[in-house]
Amino acid sequence: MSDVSGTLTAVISCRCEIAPPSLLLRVAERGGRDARDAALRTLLVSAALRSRRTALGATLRRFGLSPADLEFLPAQAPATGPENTVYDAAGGEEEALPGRRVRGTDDPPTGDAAVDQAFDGAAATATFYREVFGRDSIDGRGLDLVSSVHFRRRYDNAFWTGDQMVYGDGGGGVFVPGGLTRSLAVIAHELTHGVTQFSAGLEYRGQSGALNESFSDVFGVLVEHRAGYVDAASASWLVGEGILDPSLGGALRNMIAPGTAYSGDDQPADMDAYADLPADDDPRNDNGGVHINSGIPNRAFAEAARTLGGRAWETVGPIWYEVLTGGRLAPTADFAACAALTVTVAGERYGESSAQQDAVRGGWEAVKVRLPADPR
Amino acid sequence: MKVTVVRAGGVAGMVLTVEVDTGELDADATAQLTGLVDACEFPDVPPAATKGRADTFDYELAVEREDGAVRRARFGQGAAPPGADALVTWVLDGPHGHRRIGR
Repeated sequence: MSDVSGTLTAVISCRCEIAPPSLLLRVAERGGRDARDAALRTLLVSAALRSRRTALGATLRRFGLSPADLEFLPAQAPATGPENTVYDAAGGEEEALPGRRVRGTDDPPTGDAAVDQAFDGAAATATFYREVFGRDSIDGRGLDLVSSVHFRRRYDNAFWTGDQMVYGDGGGGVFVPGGLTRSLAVIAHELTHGVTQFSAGLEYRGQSGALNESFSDVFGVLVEHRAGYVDAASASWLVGEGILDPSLGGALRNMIAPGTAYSGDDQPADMDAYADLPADDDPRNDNGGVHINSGIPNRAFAEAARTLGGRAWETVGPIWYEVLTGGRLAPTADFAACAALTVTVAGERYGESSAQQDAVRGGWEAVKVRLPADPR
Repeated sequence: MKVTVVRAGGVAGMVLTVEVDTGELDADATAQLTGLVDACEFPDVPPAATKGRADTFDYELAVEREDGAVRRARFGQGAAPPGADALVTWVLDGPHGHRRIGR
């Protein structure tokens, strides 16, 4: 899209709309290369001007693009904050997204629990990132919050598409009906995949993928901790507590005791039990263990937070946030690189040999991730 | 004929395996399953990869015929080959499968 940005900028300054979107879409899909490019540029710009950078999801997906391709557009005015909109997918699949608009930023609750929980969870997550870290929404530039609920039938999952949240209703044997929107930690986990997408961009495979998952768990529980005024000592460190089918167990993950959250939980608690899986096309291998080995950095964080006590979002949370968003964590970072950077950042923020740095170092030592030698 | 669906990933990161054996089905269910299998394509070249999307599902679909021949397809959510979505849904959501959670 880099060559597109100049043209788009020029079109933005023109602010002209020359054809209805339906016609432009037909041209973009069926026209020759030049006509297709011109129609696509006009579509994106007119949509961006008309409805901010938000509801472009369907158009972007259609052409294999993401909101990151619109980075050159001006950020939204911080005073306005992101719009928060929930859509009803009414059992539809990917092509039905986002669905029918059912609640906007200033609208009252709808009475549909999934709609209202998705709305409240997105708002709580955006508020957390703004008030704790000064981050303007998911991308740091005011990206509007778009959620779709009632995706497919009995769909046992929630995910971030790259530009919006999607929630199933559960009830397919893994999640209790309504469980996926009931958990603030799950909502914040998924939205944090968006934060990672727009910051470190951790590749979703192997150890970088496990770090991607872990950052989502970390900030997922921190959003929940802050919303419930839970301190590190009394926290359960469970992700998605009480939303699994009772036959499976109590939670999706246990950050302080990985491998104990549900029947069949195979997360390792330290590097001795690291699952060395190939990042191949076998779904059993979990992209190289992204949901399995994430237990290791999860526990490092929880151990550090427990050592320091108090509010984890104010103690260790800012260190992890700086590591994720500060521009120094490579997309292919492994556990050792991430661990070393957390120790460095802790030293920068709180001083070398500070209690915070020692706690972070202790967290990684507990999970047996190799750290650079302590200079003391 | 035995049809096995493995679904992995998602926010839970669990591996769900569901197996259906026509030897355990009545005639109607066998006809439904056979029709879905016959309508399903198993391309030599996998569909466009959707790997790398956080917390979406990944699937493996395997059909084992009575003569032991096995056809297999692996694909990400939203990238199923023609006919595979309907077959996967019938196996996962129907009442006929043996379900197991675990790798």
